[in-house]
Amino acid sequence: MFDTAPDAPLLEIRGIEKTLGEQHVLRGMDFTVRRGEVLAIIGASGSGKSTLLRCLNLLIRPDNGRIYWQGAEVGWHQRGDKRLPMAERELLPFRTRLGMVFQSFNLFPHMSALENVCEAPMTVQHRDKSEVRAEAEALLAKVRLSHRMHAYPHQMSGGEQQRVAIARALAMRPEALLFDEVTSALDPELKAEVLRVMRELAEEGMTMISVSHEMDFVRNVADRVIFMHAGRIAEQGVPAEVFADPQTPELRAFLGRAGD
Amino acid sequence: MNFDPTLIENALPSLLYGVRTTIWLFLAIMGLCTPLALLVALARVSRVRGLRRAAATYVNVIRALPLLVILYFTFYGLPSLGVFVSPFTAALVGLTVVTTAYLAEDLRSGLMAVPRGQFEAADALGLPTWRFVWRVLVPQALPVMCGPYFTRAIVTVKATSIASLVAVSELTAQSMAKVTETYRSVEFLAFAAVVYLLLTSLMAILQSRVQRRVTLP
Repeated sequence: MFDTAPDAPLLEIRGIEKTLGEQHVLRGMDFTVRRGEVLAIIGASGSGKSTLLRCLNLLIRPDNGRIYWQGAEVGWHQRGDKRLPMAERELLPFRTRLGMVFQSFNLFPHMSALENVCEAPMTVQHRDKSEVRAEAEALLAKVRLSHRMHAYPHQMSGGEQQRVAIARALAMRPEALLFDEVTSALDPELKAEVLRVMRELAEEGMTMISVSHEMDFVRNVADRVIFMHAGRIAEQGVPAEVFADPQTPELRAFLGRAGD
Repeated sequence: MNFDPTLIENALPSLLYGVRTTIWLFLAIMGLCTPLALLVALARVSRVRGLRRAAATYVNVIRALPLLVILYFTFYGLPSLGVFVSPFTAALVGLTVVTTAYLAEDLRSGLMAVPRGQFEAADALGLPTWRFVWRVLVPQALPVMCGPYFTRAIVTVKATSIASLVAVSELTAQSMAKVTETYRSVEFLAFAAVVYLLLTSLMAILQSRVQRRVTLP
């Protein structure tokens, strides 16, 4: 499908820019994600974190810049000097390599937990129904929801819904997961059960890119943190080092607020 | 006031013929414009700009024209363009074209009530467009669409009476023919009114049944 290079980074972002309306949200972002890495993206509201995350799986198409998946460019075809955007259909194989979990869960409300998890593997990957069902049950067990398999989203707590959403993303057997402030809509105790699942995934070696306000999670689980300010990377590095010695007044201010 | 029910009794075969024509016309219109309007509504929320524009143009042009003008066009206009159809077909085409435009707007409001997050989640999972439409979008839009849909159906039951102006022998036409024939109006107009009331009430009953079925768990 893609002309991939085995030794290339899993995901490589070069010069991503995006303007939404009048707002120049991303002003040139560069970074790479290695297989198995847990990357945290932090920053104040409006710094472009969620937009960046949606550019990574091309839910939003950047205006400028390039995205390489295992060394192969995605999103555009190079035709001589011209760059032609890929059709939505051509993006699907790439997009399903990256699972995504949202702040507002976005489960399908008319389907049970199990149906939510089974839908995409069956209809997108055309996998065998009984095999998908067995795997979905295992995934729901993994996120400790075996007893909620047949519950509908409105019957579940936010924490349960978010864990179903994680199982739903995992059911596509993705090579990396994108988390968009997945605990921001949850009470502290519900947060803990979602963060526990995320920590377990990290320990299993899942590649994760997580926009997060959970500083404990970033400090203890992330291999690397990117601090975004005004559409750019203001600071990055190992979380403990970055937090211990912030270089920019913006990060100092951000950490001061986050510590409250 | 003297109300003579035997007049209706004597005219019953001709009146029932009108009732039958009205029901067939109504069913044919709804049968055609339900799928068409859903397609137009989907086109209006499509990612493809060309589709959005074409659908919006259709809806806005048709909404801007009086129903009767469109019906006169399909009845008198089409034959002069060399297309010869029966009065029933002419009325069916005209009413379908118009009802589709209005119904498309009704259904679009249901589609737009589905949260953005559902579109994003389906995209992130890679659901193909049609799969998304049938499995995610429409099931969630149905509860919202239900009320406006049956309101439009009720409007359409009554709108079929306009077909009497283009020589379709439906309920209003047959009733008015009897009025002209007997010089008695109240009996036949009352008959027509009761039949329209029954048909629209049936729609209202159907609406509450369907609403219960499509409401999300």
